[in-house]
Amino acid sequence: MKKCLTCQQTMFEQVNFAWLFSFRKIQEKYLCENCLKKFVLIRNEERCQGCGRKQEKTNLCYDCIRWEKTGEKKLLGNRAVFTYNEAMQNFMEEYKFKGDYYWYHIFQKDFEQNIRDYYNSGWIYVPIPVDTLTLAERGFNQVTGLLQSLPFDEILKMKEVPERIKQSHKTRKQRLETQQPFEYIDKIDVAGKKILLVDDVYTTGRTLYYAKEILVKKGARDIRSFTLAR
Amino acid sequence: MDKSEFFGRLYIVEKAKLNQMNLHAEHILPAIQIRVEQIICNRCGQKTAKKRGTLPNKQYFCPKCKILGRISTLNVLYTIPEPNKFTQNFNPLSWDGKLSLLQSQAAKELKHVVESKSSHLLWAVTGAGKTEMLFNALEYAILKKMRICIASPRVDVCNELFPRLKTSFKQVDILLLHGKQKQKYRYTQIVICTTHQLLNFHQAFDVLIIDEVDSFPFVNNRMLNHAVKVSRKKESALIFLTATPTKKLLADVRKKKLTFSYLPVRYHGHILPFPKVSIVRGWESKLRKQKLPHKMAKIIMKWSKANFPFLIFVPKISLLEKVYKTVRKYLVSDTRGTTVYANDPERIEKVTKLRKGELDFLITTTILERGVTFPNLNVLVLGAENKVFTKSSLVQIAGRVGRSSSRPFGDVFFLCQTSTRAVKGALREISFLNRKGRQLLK
Repeated sequence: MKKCLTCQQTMFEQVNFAWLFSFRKIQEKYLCENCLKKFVLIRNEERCQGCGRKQEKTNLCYDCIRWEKTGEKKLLGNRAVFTYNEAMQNFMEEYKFKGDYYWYHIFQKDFEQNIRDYYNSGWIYVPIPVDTLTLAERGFNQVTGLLQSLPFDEILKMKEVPERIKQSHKTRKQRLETQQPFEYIDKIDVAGKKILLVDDVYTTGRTLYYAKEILVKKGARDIRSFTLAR
Repeated sequence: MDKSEFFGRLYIVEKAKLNQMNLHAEHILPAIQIRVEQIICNRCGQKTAKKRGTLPNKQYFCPKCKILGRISTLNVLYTIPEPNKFTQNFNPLSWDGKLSLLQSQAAKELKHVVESKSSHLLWAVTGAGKTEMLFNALEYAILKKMRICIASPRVDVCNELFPRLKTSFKQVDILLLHGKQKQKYRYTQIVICTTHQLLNFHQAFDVLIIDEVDSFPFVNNRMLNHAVKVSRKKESALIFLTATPTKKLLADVRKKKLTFSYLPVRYHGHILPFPKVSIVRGWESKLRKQKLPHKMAKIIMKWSKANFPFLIFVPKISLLEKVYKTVRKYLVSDTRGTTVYANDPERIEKVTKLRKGELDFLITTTILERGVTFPNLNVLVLGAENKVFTKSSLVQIAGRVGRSSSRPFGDVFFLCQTSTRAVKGALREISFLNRKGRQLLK
């Protein structure tokens, strides 16, 4: 019997009569119903058009207005699948920081399906990179882990810096004050192309806007972003 | 880094940093063994399906022991064999209490176990003074420069042991290790830790003592049993302490895998209080109507009049609040009480408050079943038929009562819907222990 990855309780498969005579496979489950309920979906109509935050009103949220004030002409139009709540924090803790790679199974299928639904033809998917030291330690990039069957292009990389403090260890102010961390790898020509930046969490937007800045310089036509959580 | 920190301990070293660190090649262990369909972790000894532990680029990690920091094929484990580099202590024991006749008999046997480096089970009833009985054996081990570990599956037990050993062995360096604190590791002669922490050691201890072996999560846990095997030296003494041994431990004694000593009398020379069982039908539905079973109401009103502290055990966390509110109705408004459960942030403070007499009662789940001592206590178990109350946990709960020599008796009530095998078993075991105890006291 399979056990739920977070609460360790045994999960039971609910099969109906029709399934017995069908050729459908049982969909693999990794979380139980109860734990799955704790993740809150962000629906398309109830999000901020700039950063994908879940909100009632339809205009931009205060964070995005700040981005516009700092001179950002076109916002990223971020979409996020889930809100960043306690359950999501726990997921990130286990998956990213404790390094349990198997946990990508929980969201990978839905995440890819969401990207396909919204950004289907003509988009280049660009995952946000992880710096080499963390990659050597962790053994995987948490973003590409979520993109198992989607073709992506790693055209960004982290600059080599001797001692880097992780974004997640900084305060909001410190995060916004960070310098451009990315470099461009000349793999494909992005001039005039539509690019979708993919990341795990959108917190302040600082990282994603730096990635955008580089790609704009290289002449990309349209740059949007997609994250698992906001 | 200080070299002594590696003594008998497993350190995770990244392969990428291996060249900079200048380590002895013969002390490096691979972290993961790769088999055809499985991987085996060299720290926790557990097998995992390859699918569960895969990383990109054909690397593997162990998901079973990730709470101690993930290890993978990207790491190696580094250890320096235990050299027993301790300063010679000539008079380590600063305890001046006295053991009773029966206690000193058991203490002598324990000392012999340490001398001969064998495995031993000490079955002593709750409140028999197990810790004090260890002192002679520990003193001997310290004189011989042995490295000692006292481990328990329960954090509370470790927390309670630490100050007691510190005052009894003032000149010896003692370290307390568990996951809920941020004490940095250093090399010490005595280590007190939870059984999970044993996974970080590699053939380090000459004397390994496991307190409360029969409790969760140690019992039936392969990983922790493996930890016991690898954290002690190949030739070392192993002592299990418990008040409620499992069938398996007793079978091991019968098979002569363990030697055995037995103490059915408490340190003050009295036997265990015998629990009273009452059948209360439909207590849950009564509780929904905010009422207590008649019997329970009578008992707690009597206790609060007599001004004795009491514990009420309930089977589920969700029942705590409900029971608390209902109990409140039956008591005078100035009796003070509260609820406590495993993840309660104020858990330790609440327990100390009850001990100091700042609280009159606590409503709790099974977390307070062992390792805690309150004077003049009475206990009541509501819903003793629930499967969380096993035979051993009921014996332990009954063992909370009458631990002080000023009041060596007290009331224990098991209120249950129906009498279960666990309840009957607990009664049988206590009456057995008491029968044997009475014979010894004659």
